[in-house]
Amino acid sequence: MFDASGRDTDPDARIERDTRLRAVAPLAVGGRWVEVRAATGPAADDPSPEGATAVVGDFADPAEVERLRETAGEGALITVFDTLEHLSAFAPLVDALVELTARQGATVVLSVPNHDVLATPSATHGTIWGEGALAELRSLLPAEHVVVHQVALRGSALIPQGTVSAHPTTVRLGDAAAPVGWVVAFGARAGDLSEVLIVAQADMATERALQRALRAELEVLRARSA
Amino acid sequence: MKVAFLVNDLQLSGGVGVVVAHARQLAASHPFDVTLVVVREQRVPDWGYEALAHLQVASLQDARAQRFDVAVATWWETTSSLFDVPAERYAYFVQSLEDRFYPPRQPERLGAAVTLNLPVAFITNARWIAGTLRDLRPEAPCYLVRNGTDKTVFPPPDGIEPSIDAPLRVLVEGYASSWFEGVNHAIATTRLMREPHRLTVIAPNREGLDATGAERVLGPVTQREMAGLYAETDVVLKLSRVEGMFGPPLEGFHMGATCVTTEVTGHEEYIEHGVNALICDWDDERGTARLLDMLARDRMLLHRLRLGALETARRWPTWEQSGQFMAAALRAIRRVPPAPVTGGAARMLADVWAALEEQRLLLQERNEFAAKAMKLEQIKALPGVATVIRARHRRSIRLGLRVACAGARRLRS
Repeated sequence: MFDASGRDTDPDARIERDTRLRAVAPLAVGGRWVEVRAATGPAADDPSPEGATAVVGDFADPAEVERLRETAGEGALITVFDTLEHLSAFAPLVDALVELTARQGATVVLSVPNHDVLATPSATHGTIWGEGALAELRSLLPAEHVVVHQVALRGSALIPQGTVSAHPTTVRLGDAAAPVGWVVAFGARAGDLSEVLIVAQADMATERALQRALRAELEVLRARSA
Repeated sequence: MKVAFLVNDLQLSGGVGVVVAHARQLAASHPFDVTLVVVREQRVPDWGYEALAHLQVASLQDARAQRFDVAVATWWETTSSLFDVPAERYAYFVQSLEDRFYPPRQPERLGAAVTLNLPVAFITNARWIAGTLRDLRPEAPCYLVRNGTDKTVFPPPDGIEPSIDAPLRVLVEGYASSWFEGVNHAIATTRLMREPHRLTVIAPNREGLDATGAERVLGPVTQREMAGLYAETDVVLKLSRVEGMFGPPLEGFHMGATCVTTEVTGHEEYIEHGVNALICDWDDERGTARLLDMLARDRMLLHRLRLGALETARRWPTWEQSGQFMAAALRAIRRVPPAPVTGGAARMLADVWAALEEQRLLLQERNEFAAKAMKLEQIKALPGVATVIRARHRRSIRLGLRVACAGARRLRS
């Protein structure tokens, strides 16, 4: 699915999502995993990770929040990635997530983007996130929550023509540079969130083709609506 | 959920405007039943303000007859009525550390400070206040809810025209009568500029205002008029000494104006030196004037800062988003047990002891002055002295004394 913000087709956004999923995988072992998604978010129609049950909605309706509670049951891992920023009313969901950790022993891991460094949010983003909004969110969470910075990486490689090889490398990482987003965990196993780094070779030709396709789609839509 | 916000009045001050904006969001976009409780005895004014249309306004007496889920004090004086309003939970929306509004030894200073010791949950709109409250009252819940911006009133433009060669357009706004707003100080600073500039002063009233050098003095103005004025501005000059969330430069940012400001509390929420604004030193009129001169000369820097300001504004939340956090904070306050009653007791007693000590010193000082005054009165009552004092009040004698003194000075020189 194309997201008008371009974040979904953006390979950086894809790899960010994969990184988060890998980080929570150890928490999902042996228990229920519920993946919360915004109906208007970029991942609404994506297949769920193995072992996860997706709950899709806008969560402004109490019935949807109740469905989440029932699906979660006791001691579930609940992931909320690429979701909060797409909800126009995120307060009921945040409320429900805090309650699920307190009453049903859930572990919640959610992500929020840093719009201070990303492109200006598109119309599909319900809300704007940055350090200030993160601080507001944190004030609503249990004191012992964990915050992890998601940082962008940049690289390049030289390889002889016609070769395929794996290159182990060491990257110095620090939280001094502005992150592209944050992952926040709270609940029973919040402390078990693992440190993850994924680097993948970029396929520039495919990326350019995707950008052209998106641009073509936009230009046709604009022309039709003019 | 039924919520009461206690306000002193419904005059359109910045603080009340923030409360009304939140109340409006909660009533319109969330299942909240919101009442503004006016705690002072007064006739409720006709605002002619669309935000009040969806809200219930009640007197304290009316509110006493109801029961609320959460009652929220919004200004230190309203806390004295907070516990008169029947509610399941009590909260305090802190928009500034309000004791700083009063000079040392003014009784209100202590009155405002001790209210932070009350057994309530806190909501605040600035990270620096949240940090201070968590240090002061670690046991009390503290929620952060930043002010939103009404993007229909302050709509960030798609782009801004660079200001290339016209005189630098400077705007100073605020109440000159509030010592901590530094309005006259800011105006005086522009008088030290060397580069061509045009100063606009926006003053809700003229009390204590010295606008010498201003091209125009306007006000009071509506928010929409203010937005138009910011759109005609290159730089907002703000030399405040006390701020809470520090709203005015942010409104300027929305309309493409950068800012020159002191490191006043609240600036750290969104101001970045050299990115979207310039930060000057305290009490440095000449240095600040040189910063303004630099912006007047270096139009590349000016435009870069204005673009940075606009980008900051685009990423600032709307009232709708801010209302989400307020709703979540109020729900959390209702859900969790109330703040412990004993939590702030030790601090409150310490504040009272400090006030007693200050009062004791004042009394001691007063007694010493009284003793000196008594001696003076005894001297003044002596027969010869009394005659001289009476004579000094006669015009002819005063004139004679002045001539004699002048003659003595001439002889000495």
